[in-house]
Formats: sequence, C-alpha cells, structure tokens
Amino acid sequence: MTAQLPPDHLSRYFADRHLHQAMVEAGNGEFDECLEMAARASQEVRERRHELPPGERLRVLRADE
Amino acid sequence: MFPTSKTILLTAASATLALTQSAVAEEWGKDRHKGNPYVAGDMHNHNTCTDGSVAAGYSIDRAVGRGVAPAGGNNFDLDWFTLGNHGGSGNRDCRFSDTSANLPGQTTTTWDQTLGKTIDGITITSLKGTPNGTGSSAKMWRWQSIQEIEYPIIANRTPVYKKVLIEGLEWIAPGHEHVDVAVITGQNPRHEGGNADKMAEFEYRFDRTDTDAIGPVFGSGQNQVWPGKDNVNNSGTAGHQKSLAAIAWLQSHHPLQSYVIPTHTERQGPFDPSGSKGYNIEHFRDFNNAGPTVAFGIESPGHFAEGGLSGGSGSYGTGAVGGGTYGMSGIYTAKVGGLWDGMLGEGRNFFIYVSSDWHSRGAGGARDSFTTADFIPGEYTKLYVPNAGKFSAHSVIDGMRSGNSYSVNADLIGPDLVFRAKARGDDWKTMGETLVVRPGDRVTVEMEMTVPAKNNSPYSFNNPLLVPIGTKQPLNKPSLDHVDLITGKITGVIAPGAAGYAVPNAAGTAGASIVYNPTATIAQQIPATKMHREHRDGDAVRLRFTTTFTAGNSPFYIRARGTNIPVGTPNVSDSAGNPLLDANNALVSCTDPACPPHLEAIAGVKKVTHDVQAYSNAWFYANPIFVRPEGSPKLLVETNADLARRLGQRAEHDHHHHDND
Repeated sequence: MTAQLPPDHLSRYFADRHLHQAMVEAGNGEFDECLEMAARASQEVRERRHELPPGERLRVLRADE
Repeated sequence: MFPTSKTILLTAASATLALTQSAVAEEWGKDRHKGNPYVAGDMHNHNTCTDGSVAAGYSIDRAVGRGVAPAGGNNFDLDWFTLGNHGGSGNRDCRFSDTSANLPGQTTTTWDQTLGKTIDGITITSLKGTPNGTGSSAKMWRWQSIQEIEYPIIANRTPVYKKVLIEGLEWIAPGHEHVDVAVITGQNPRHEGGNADKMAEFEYRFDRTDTDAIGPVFGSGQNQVWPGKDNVNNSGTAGHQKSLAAIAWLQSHHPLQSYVIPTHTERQGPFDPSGSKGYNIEHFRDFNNAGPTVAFGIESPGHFAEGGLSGGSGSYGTGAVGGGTYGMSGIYTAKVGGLWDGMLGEGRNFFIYVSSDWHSRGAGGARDSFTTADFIPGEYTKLYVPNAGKFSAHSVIDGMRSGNSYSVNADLIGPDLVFRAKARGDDWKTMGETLVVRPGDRVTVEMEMTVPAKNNSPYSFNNPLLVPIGTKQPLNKPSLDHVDLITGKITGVIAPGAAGYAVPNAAGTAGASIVYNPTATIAQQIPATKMHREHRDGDAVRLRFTTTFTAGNSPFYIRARGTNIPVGTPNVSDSAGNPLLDANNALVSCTDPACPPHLEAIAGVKKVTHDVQAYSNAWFYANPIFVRPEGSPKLLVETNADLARRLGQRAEHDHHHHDND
C-alpha cells in the first residue's frame, strides 16, 4: 500500500510506522487496535497529510546516533 | 494566615493517615520529592511485553530517572510508577526494545530467540501454560511475564531509584474495554521473597484475552496453582457479570491492596450486550457497588499526541462516545452534567485520574523530542496523590482511594495544590472528604496552586490556538487562564434496576448531549487575573483565591478544573468555557516558522495537531469536595471511606496480633 508513494515521501514514512504498530498490535492479539492502525496508514497514503516544502525535513534519531 | 508548606503537607496527607495499611508499610520511595505535598506518578503504560515500543526496564528508567538517559532523551523524574501493561500474551521478549524505538543496540527480539539465556539476571527456560503460537509468534502469557519478567525488573530497579515501583495491569475486562488494575499484595521489591503472584493470578483468572487454561502448576506438573478459571463468559452481558465477579474477588481478597479504574472509557462507544466494548453509567455503578473500596473511579485517556486532522487525540475516533476528546478528556469527564457528574450526584466515591498510556512516539523513536502518538510517563501527564510520610505502594492506593488526588496535563499546575473547604471553625475538608454544615452556613472554598516556570514541551513558539485571539503564550511556559468551580446536587444512590440507574448511551457526538446530572453547573469561574499572585523561584507563580458558597438543605459537591484556554476561544472553547471537540483544534493553522514538520497539513499548511495540540490545549482536574447538611444521612463516599478505615483497622489488628504470636 505505501509503495504508492515515492520512497522519500514523508507520508510513506508515517504510513509505514502505522503499519508497523498494526503488526505489533496483531502480535499482541489486539486486533481492534491493529485495524485502527491499518486504517490510519491507509488514510495517510490517501490524504498525504505530511507533505513538506522543499528544504524542510523530519529529523528522526537513528539507532546508531 | 495562609498555611505554611508543612501545614499543606499535613492537609494533603490527612486523608491517608487513618488508613493503617500505610502505617504498617515500609517506606519505598526515599528519593521522591519529599518536600512536595503531593507526589506525581503514572499507572498506565506499555512495553514490549505487550504492544509498547520499549523494554520494560527502559520504560521505568525514563519515567523515574533524572536528567538525561544514557543514549539520549530526557528522563521525567516521577515519584512513583506503576507498570500497567495489557493482559493477554505477547511474542516479544520485553527485556529488549523494539527496533522501531531506534535505540542503540536494540532490535525486536522474540521469546523463541532467548529461551534459556540469562538476560538482565533473568532466565526464562520455557513458555508456560497452554502453548500459544510457534516460532517467532510463540507468545508468553501475561501472568508469566508479570511474575517472571516485569516484577523482577521492578525488584532490580527499586533499590537503584529508591522510588515506589508497582506491578500493575491494564486489564482487558470481559464484556468491556480496558481497566487499570493493580494488586500489590505480596509485592515487596525492596526485599527478596516479594512477588507479584496475586497480580498475575488476577490477570490469569479474569483477563478476557488471557485464554490460557492451565496457568502455573506445581508438584508433578499436573496440579494447577489457580484452578477453577471461567474461560467462557468473556463477552457481552455475561462478560460484564464476569467482570463484576473479578471486582468482587478483589474486594474480598484485596480490599485495600488493589484498585479497578476503567480507562479511555468512551473510546469504543457504548456497551454492546453481545460484544466486548464500552461502558454505560450502569456498569460503573455496578463496579462501584461490587467493589466499594477498589472500584472508585475512571481514568482520562492517554495517547494525548495522537490528534490529527480528523481528530484522534486520546486515541478516540469519531465512534467514541462524544466523538472524540474535549480538552484532552473524554466527554464523561469533560461535560458539566455528564457521566462523572451523574456518579457524583449519587454521592459516590468516584474519582478521576490521568495517565500517559505510553506505547510509542509514533513517527519518532524513543529518544526524539517530538511525538505523534504518546508521551513518556511524566512527560505530559501527572497523577498526584498525597505525599504520605512513609511513602509506599500502599500510599499510592490509599491516596487514590481517598479521592485526595488531582490530574494535570502539560504541567499546568504543580505538586502543591490546595483545594479545600470549611464552614465553621478551622475544620478544613479537602478532595474526597465531606464537609458537614448547617443550612445557611457560608462555605469558604480556598484554592492555591503553583504554575511552574516551564513544562516539558520542546517548543517555545507561541500557542497557535491562542494566536487568533492575540494572545502570546509560549508552549513551554505553562499559563493558567481560569479555574472553574463546578457544583452539582447530590440526590442519593440509585438502586440497581431503579429508574435512572441505567441510562441509554450513544456513539459519536450524540453521546455528548446526554445529561446525567442536570443540576451540575459552572458555579463560579475565577480568572487567574483575579487571583492573588506571588512570584516564586524562577518564573513560577503561586496563585490563590478564596470564595464562598451558601449551604442549602441538600447535599452537593464542588469540583474544580483549570485551563490555559480563555472562554470563547474559537475552535477550542465555548462561551461558557467548556472545551469543544478537540478535532476542531485542527482547523487552526500553525504558522510560526518553528512549527515542526511532523504536524499534519492541508495543502502544505500545518495544522494544530499531535504534540503541539496537546501542549496548546492544557487542563487540570481536581476531585470533588462533598458538602452535606448536619443530620442528613452519610453519603456513600463517607460510608465507603468508613469501610476502608474499618478494613484498615482490622488489618492492623491482625498484623499486630500476628506479630505477637
């Protein structure tokens, strides 16, 4: 689903994070919350709620930092 | 003369002094903030034992540690902390953080990778109970992780931090949604021999997602330690009855050593008689009836940074009762005359609490300063309970049960609230207590609070919700606009099955129209500008006011809330000062050049969402003071406090008697 967006699109990153949490919820047997997180991912891809102007970027600490 | 800090301390602690469980308990929290009348904590949060993002130990480190974490990220120095993780099961080894937390050296690790290895001094040799998945999906039942992972981690860290750490649970209640529970019986993390067995037993017996049919065994391995589990009645009306049995079990076995606090209670909509979700007011009444000293309130939602363009703060979607949060609280609490006022209108011991519901920082890793989902415990929410002299886990529960507690978002006020009332003489009563008056008496209400110099916001730009009204208020500097004193009449306890005991509930914004106590009103609204103001160290400000009410012929209560939001702020509050549906906040643009890139945007224009929304729309709630005429029957809040006192005296007698054996 998130592959519909370019790899560097911020909404793709957000959607991937939602999907990751959806998998975590499923692994914990929390299926309502799994569906909620999957719906948020879908919404993020559909509505592209995170589009930044040129030059602005989201800074997230990497594990090796 | 206004009381000194020592007097305030005594006032704050008075409600718990009579509860002897505190008196017999050993002090655990020597490194808490001893000078504060109230101490801050959190009872609802998650780690990788269930669906959180960080290791159990890491969550404790960030919540109660001081300064900066070794790999970066601020710690939040709470005075007490309860691990309140889901029931059920989990496939991840919660001695490790999830890869998504972006912590150095930490990758998602599952139980199948670590069985037999000693990690952090803990060796897990097998996954016990009914087999539950294979390979990386092999799950550990929560009763086992409570006993063998979380409690040992608490025991390891208690002497390090010298703070009160408690093993709790977010109970997935049969027939309903989630409930904060702790059973502290047996927990004694300062000494070997302590355990969380009773907490684990509760989880095994009563959590609807823990379907293990075996539990721990002894002897040849065929004998169940906890026989007789009902593994059938987990949904709908039958599930509700099982939940009541669970509460009755706590009331019977652990009446002063446990609590049952339903959480994010509006989130899944009304109760479904044939499903597993939600609550109506009759269920809270049933809970309080079944557990008069254990089921004494509800919790506001956590997940305060989840708000996006279409709502979502508090993890509430449009199907929640109320259709979302209001000033970061659910409608049951936020509405004057709403469900909470309905419970108080019966004179019940039914109080409000707040916690983080920390899972992850959404788009951020655990060390990032921003969050699009949850705050770390202590970062944004603080639940204050009295700072009892010998502070222990019992003190936390005694303080919560007494009602002498208050809940604060964004450090709007600090740990030294005074909220009390008197009629004649100097017999002050504080939150959770009952003032007995003569009709016509003048009731003096006094309130004093410190607005701290700063909160934990990483943003110093001006509050975007207030820019449209020309107010400049940096997000990292708390500011109190006004306090509402809300009163409501107490008309007595409604018997089960009587008219009004059950009230039809509704999903979405229709649920916001339901009135449970039509007499509740904002009786007085005190602007901060009208309060006595005293500057403290740094930029902190001490605010104080005194006001009066006239006692009538019937009982009533006075509760308080405060906010940084002026009355009638577009898209935030109505003309009376009530919070609007928080989804409206996203109609406001965040135009400061410092508005961060993780905010949701429309056509490239950032909107007030996520953590910026949470810091922009800040509230606190103080529990009620009850007032009744002399000669009138005691309120339920009084008789249940009497019951707790008697149970405490009996426990102390038994303890003393045992010592003399």
